[in-house]
Amino acid sequence: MAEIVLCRIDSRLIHGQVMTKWVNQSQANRIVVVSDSLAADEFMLEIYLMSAPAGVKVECLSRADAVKKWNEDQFGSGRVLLLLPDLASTKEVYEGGIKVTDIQVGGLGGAPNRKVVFQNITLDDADVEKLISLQEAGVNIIFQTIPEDVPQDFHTILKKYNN
Amino acid sequence: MEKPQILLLTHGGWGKALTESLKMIMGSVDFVHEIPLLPEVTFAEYYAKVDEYAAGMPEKSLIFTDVFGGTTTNAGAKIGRERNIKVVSGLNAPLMIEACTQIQYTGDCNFDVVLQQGQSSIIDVIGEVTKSMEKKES
Repeated sequence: MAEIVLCRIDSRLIHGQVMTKWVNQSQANRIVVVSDSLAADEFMLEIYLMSAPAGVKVECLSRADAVKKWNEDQFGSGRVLLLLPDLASTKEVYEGGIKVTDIQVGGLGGAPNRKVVFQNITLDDADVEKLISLQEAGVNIIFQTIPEDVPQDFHTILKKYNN
Repeated sequence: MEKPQILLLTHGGWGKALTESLKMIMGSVDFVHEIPLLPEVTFAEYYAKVDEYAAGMPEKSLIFTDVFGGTTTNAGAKIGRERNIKVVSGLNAPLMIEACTQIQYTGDCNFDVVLQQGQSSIIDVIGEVTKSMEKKES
């Protein structure tokens, strides 16, 4: 079974911060991206695959396939950086069986009626609801964009959100 | 033919500073435009912004991005493919000088030459000079 060394929620998926910082920091040798839209977009997927650093294998799975593959053999082997674009997909794959112990919210993009809680991370009520349910299930949730940031715990973030 | 344009996509907008500095060498480069990727912007928002601008770019225009694997390039690639605009990642000064010179002097842009110039512009200076000196001695 593969070891999930980092589970990151980042609406930009694979991008500069992930490639230059988190892959090194987590010592991952695989990136598993869970995204229905990316899995269906051959051209964009190829760009993500091509931009992987040397020695790191990138795969992209739909939510359903991610759950299926996890339940088959826990993604096989290696050190996996699991990357998801939003909390809806995170909650769905968690409930499907991918019981990660920790999640890192690293980037959730702005839209009207979303509130900035830390750096470039925004939340809305639906997100908060999902985070609370994940926390109640025993998941440790932190907010951190790059390794140089001090990670913020959900409790602190929630206070900011409700302020 | 309308003069081609250059659209720069960089993290934080450093292409703007590069362009300002290039003006010292090149004079006016009013055909260069920059859309900075700011930390709070999502892929979708950035994509929409760049796409809106790219829609009005004349034929043979180019998109230059800073980092392959970054959001700037990811957005540029998607738009370039859809709108048939060439995209080069690895923005640097020699690449800009070549493209701007061509556009200024000819009102046109030869993509292959621009690309080649950019690709050959990273040089191990001491190594190359030493090699060149050794060649002369032998």
